[in-house]
Amino acid sequence: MLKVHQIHKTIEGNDVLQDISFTLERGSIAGMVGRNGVGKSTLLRTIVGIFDPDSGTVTIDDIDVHKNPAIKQKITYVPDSSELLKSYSVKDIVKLYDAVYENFDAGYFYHLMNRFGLPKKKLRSYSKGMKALFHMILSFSTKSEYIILDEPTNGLDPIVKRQILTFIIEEVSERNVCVLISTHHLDEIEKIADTVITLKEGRIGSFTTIEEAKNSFRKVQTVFTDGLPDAVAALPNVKVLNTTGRVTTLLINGNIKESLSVISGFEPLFIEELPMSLEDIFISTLGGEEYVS
Amino acid sequence: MFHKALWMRNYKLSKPVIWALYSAGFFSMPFIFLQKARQTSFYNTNVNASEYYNDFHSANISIFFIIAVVLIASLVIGQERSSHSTDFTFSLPLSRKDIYLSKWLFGVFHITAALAVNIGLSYLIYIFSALNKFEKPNFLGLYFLYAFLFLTAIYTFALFIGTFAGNTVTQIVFSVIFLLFPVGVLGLIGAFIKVHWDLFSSEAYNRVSFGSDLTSIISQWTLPIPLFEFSYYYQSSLGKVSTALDYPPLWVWLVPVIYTSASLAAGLYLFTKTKNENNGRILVFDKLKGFFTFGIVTCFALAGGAFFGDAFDVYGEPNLFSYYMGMLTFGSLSYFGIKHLFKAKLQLNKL
Repeated sequence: MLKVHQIHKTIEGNDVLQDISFTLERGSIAGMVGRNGVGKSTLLRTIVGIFDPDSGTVTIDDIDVHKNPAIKQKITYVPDSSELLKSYSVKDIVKLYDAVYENFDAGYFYHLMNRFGLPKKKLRSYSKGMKALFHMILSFSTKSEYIILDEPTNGLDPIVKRQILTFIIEEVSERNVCVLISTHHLDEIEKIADTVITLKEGRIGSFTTIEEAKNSFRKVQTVFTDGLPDAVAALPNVKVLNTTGRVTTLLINGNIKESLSVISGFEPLFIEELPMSLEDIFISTLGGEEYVS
Repeated sequence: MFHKALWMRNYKLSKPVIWALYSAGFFSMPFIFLQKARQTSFYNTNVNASEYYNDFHSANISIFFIIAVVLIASLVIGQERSSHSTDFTFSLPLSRKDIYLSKWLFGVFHITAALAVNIGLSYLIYIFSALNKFEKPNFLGLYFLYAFLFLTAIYTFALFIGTFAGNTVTQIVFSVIFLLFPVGVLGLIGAFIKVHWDLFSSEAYNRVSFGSDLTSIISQWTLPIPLFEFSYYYQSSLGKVSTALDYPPLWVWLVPVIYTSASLAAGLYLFTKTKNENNGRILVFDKLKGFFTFGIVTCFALAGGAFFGDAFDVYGEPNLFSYYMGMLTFGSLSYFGIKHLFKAKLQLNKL
């Protein structure tokens, strides 16, 4: 069990992380989302011991990562840069990982290299997608129980993206590992994650399953004779997503039944529930229209 | 302390300078002695069989070694910070203590090996060449020990600087400044006393002026300086032999031991507390900003005063007005410069 407990981190006088707590179990995929600069990478770096928290703890099976770094045999981190280890050859990297990780499986690593058709050359000659795939393969070959991925699919083409996401799902289901992914791509989270962690202004905004998140929201399209009534727009749990002429798209957060009943009370000409994506939810909860995707 | 993966990593970070260290040793010792042996052989065969002269001055070779060891220290720590490769190293299941000690051991091993290989080769050249007819190269053994102590101390000190310097450039700059700090500060104080002559006795100035007892003691505590003071010569002429081996007194040999012990302990402490979020900046620890601002501005102000005071002297005597103008100008420029630099962040490609 990976437990993050009341992490607080200040950088240059700014409270980048405040009272962050959550627990992740093996066999699950958690997606971490939040706007740029909200502290996602700082949190991941703190979890793997690159940064020290000002207060709070990160434990794996009740062993503190910062006090007992040897426990990091169970956790690997793939940073968001494709520049890492670029001056190394594949052979050198295998030697390096073999010397560091007790359970590193070189056979499995080479098997995956062949499966994804990656050449055994210096990483410098790899494309961005190949590097991302390579680091993913490398981290899973350590046989760690927890894999932390910082924006693993950033800037990759759809084919490589799909390969990576499929690979993650396979690994989690076959080896019972836990994967924590930080990303801006909500569609990816929606496809593969069980849990979504939202970060807002350095704090945990929410920690829910995808289903819970979707069940607590409704997206509806309405048409009123004289436009959206002010009383509806003023409802605290209703957010206007979009207005085109008399057609208004609303997002209802919680108290769905009561809110729909209030809206219906104003006798709309038309009301229809629309399919909802995570993006709708996070645009609404993480910062409105200026949300950066 | 020894970890194969960290060893590989350190080698990758510093490979070009490691080879430069071995090369510097080769071209400054075995290569030179080989040339000497060939010249001696030719001279003794064709000109005079009994005339012989040989000398060895560490001053000729030490500078290359010093540059190399400071660069190795700056690459294994500073380069890692500048390229933000610390994300990789610190995410590994290894303690910070092991990471630091492996960097230290790596450098000390290569210093020892570079000296041992090159001094060993030099020894063989002596034994198996015309040089053997005249002298035994016993001074090489002593030089090995002497250079080992001082180069290890310089390396350990530069590595310690890397525990609070945020990138390669600042680590190199701070290493040079702090390695020369004792004599540098004394020079600045001397200039201050000289310009405020009326406030001090002449004795005060004599105490800090060049050549005084105090400056010679302080010089021995300025790590690189004693390394230049090892010399040997041997002369054989008309059957008469004269030889001399000069090096600082034995207490000076303790100076690098003290520097090494203190720097290693302090470096180890700071490295375990490192703030990787400040990698690439001038300083790793925000708390040191005030201290460094004060120190840098003071030193620049004193240096500016000394420079202006001398440049705009009055009948050969330093000018008090110019001195204070220099202090004010350099002090202000360094204050605003350092404020600006504290905000900067250096990032190089990852390794």
